[in-house]
Amino acid sequence: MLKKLLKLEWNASARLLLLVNFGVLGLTALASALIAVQNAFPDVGSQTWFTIVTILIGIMMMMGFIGMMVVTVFLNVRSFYNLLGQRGYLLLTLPVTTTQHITAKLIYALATTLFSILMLFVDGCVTMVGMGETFTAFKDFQFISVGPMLYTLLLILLALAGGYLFLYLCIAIGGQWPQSRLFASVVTFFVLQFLFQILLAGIGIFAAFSFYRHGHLIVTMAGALPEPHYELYVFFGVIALIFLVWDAILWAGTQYLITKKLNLA
Amino acid sequence: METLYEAKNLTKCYGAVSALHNVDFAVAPGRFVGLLGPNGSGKTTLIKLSAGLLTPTSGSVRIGGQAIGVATKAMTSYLPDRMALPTEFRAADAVALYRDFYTDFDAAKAQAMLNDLKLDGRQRIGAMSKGTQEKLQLCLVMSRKAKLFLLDEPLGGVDPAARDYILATILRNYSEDASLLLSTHLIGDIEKTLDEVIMLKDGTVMLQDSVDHLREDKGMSVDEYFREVFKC
Repeated sequence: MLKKLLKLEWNASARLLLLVNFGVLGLTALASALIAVQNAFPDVGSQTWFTIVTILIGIMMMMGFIGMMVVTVFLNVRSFYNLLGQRGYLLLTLPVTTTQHITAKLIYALATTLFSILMLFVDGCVTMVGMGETFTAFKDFQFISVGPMLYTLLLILLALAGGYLFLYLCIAIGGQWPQSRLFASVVTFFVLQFLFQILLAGIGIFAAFSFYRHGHLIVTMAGALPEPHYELYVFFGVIALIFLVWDAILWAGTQYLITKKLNLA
Repeated sequence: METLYEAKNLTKCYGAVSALHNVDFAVAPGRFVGLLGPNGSGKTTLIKLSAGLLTPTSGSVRIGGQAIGVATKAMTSYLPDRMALPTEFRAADAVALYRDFYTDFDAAKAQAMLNDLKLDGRQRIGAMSKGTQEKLQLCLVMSRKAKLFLLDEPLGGVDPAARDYILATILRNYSEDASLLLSTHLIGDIEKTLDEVIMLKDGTVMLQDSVDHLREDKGMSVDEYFREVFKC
């Protein structure tokens, strides 16, 4: 079922997503080519009209980078908003569990966001080629630090998932209102964000105070680890665990509202 | 009596407003039931509760003996009172969606119906007229071999010719052992085809009876009776 739901997500937004991503790539290639021409043929490149065109394309490219990420996030958030709106009349009557709905939406959101980030990286490389940059940094790149890389990827995924799940929860809470659900979702977003910031500040103060009082214990525990760089693994492990718990809370809240309090307008 | 659908003490409140209040009724397999009532009587709420789109305030709905969930959704074919198909989809994508999710979906039957409507599978749903979109949605819903069909106002807001097409499509495509619960206030159009009626008034079941018995008992048609009861 998950595969079918992912196919549904793909059918609903892939065309626009690919169009925007590859459109920006085309724009980047054009900007890169103009820069390359400017460097290779200074006579042409120094002409006013050429400089203006290059600057305009460059500005469009930068706006494209921002637009690409905005469109990706917007499409993913809209997809969830639609689930609790008009489209829910179709999707929520499919023989599929709420868990499967949330899982499919989250996997698709993460995959498309990572894809857009990757496309940004490719766009950056294309721009560098136009500027005549060599990739010396990549030549020296060695895959000796796979562990931290995986940790980083895991943390990025968990943080992204947290971001999307937070938005899902806001939409699910906003969906409880009889009218003006979009407005209610936006208000919920700001109210929850404010409350969570206060909560996080409280936890931060508590953690700092605890470290001040019991810091020697943590240092002793860290010193007991077999290798010094294990401290880093433990640190990232704790961060990942915190993200995981946070994501689980947001997921549970959203799932509860959709299964137990569903009220499609 | 064997029961396919059962609503028990079903109550739904929107804040302080009660849309349904202690609704109790059952539907046996193979029955074509008209859910009748004026605007705001709770027809759509009842159908949405049965389709699993609303959570009841209290009471329950059971379909095939099961509480509303994945299993009941697999045996229920639901037509909402609005367009729910993704407008960015093509007609073929919508057919594929139904084929993917419903094991009882008859793709050949759906294709034949789309051919009748002269609908090209490559046509985008958003580019279709409102009437064609509604017909497409109905074709997909009626292409299932579901045990229960829940049709919410399929005759509302369409011209008389389209109404005839919709009624003919419904009658042609639902099997003898399936039940059909159809909400409407255009009773004259469907009276001849109904087995029984359930009349809702202010969120409560005012009457459940077979059409033949009702006509005999009241000495008038269902449409006339409805007009008399709900006279403004």
